Amino acid sequence: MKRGLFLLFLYLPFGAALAGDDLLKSLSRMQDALQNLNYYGTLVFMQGGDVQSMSLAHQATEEGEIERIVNLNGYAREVIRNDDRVICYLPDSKSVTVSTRRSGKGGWLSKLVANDFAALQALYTFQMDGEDRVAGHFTQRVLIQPNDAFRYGYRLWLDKDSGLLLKSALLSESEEILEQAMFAEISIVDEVPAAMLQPSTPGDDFVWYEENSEIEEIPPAARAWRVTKMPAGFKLVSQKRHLLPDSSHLAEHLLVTDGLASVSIYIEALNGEPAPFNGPFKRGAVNVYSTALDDHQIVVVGEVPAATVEMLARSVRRQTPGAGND
Amino acid sequence: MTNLSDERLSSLIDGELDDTQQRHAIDALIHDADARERWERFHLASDALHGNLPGAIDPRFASRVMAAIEDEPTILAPPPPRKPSVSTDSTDHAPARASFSKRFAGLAVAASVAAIAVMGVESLYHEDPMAPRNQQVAESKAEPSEYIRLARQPSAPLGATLASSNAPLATSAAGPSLAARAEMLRAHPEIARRIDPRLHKYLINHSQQAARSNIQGVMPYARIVTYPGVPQRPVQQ
Repeated sequence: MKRGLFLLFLYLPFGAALAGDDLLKSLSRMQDALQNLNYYGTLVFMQGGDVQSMSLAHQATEEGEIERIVNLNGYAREVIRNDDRVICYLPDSKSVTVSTRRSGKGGWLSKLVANDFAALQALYTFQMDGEDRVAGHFTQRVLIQPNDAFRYGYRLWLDKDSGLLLKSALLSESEEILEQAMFAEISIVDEVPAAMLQPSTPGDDFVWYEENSEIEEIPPAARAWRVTKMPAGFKLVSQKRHLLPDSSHLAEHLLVTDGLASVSIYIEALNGEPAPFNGPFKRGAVNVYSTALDDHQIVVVGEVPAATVEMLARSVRRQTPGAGND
Repeated sequence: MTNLSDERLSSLIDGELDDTQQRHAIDALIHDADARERWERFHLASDALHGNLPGAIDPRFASRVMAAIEDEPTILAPPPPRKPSVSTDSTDHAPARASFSKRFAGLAVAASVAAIAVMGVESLYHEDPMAPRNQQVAESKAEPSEYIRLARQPSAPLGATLASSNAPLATSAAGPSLAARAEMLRAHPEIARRIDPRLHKYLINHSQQAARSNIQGVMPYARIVTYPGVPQRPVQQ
């Protein structure tokens, strides 16, 4: 026992580097599996005391990926993703929202070269976390702990055979589970039955909100708003204008991320109207902070602690485009 | 039974309990001084965090309203049936009932006054016919007409309480500092309001936008399909 500890101590630096490589490999494998395998199953989603189940199907085709998730409880809301195009059917509000995701193929990990992983390791501590069995599959657990109080931690259960992510939990600072999703059962197949990938709601009598994909990034010189204070490691990755459902004018949308956690900042003109929201809101892992500035409503949304959304919301400043910073 | 969890209290404040649950929670509040204190603290903290506090507020507001109402037996409910020999008849439950109804009324008044005070601030912000949460809370708490009447036409003792409440405990109108608020949120995460349904369009858009960069695979979509209630009202275009 003592000798084992001694050896562990001796090999720790080397071992840690090795573990890092293994982790990166496992995570890359997970990303590949999620994108390239064909599978369907039942996913259980737990948030606070609330448990819901949904059915999920994923098919990789020549043209790209098709993924469909339908809630099996309550309103039959569903999301169908066709590569970068995400369609949400919301029968409770009789609406459909269509948006085109901003990042290209490959997702976050394909862009995560060694340097980025090193940068991430400054913000989070990654470690292998034992083994477990989920949905009848043996899994490797990975624990990702934040190094400060501005982000949450993650625990991932990766299928040893396929690499698929079979269970995932978001953890608070005190490692309390904020929300988790888990496959109750999953089938990895050659081809997912086509019917599983079709929307169950025709959506004909729904109101469709389609995000204008023509809207381009706002070039830095033309940006009227900026975030002046972000927790360590967060970067602005995009600044665009969107038309949100139920709105008559464009909202400026800033997306910031530390590599794992993403936060959206929405800025909308109030046109003299009073701000409808004020202060912090939360649901499960999602925190929202809203404030008003210069006749604009600022809403910050993200799966990060309350302090993070508040810091971002309160640091938003208006600037004269082209006038430079400060 | 009178053990009112923080979670329950927070749901009560957010108006998330059904009628029966709300009745039980209020019953528990009446009988549990500790819960009442927490309830006041939550309200105060919640209002402070949401910037709804006036320049100054009396931390013992609810208990003072309750005390004022105990001193003012005729305002609220019709007087409870009493026998002439009320104080000597130990088998008679009327005094207990009277005290119960008075105290309940006091609590309800304190709640509705607080809610209406908040509503006064909030109604500036909401002309939306889809009643915001606070208005719903105020309405449901102020249901019995006596409470509304009293809350809207403050009697002498209540007026006095309100007037005197301007003196103690200075809370700056701007609210506590960021650090203090962050600390408060850490200590009482339940203070942050449940997501207002009208915020769902932001949540859904965020999930749509951020999904690709998410390490948790489909988690953002799971969030989209499980947000409770109506995420947004469709507008005919």
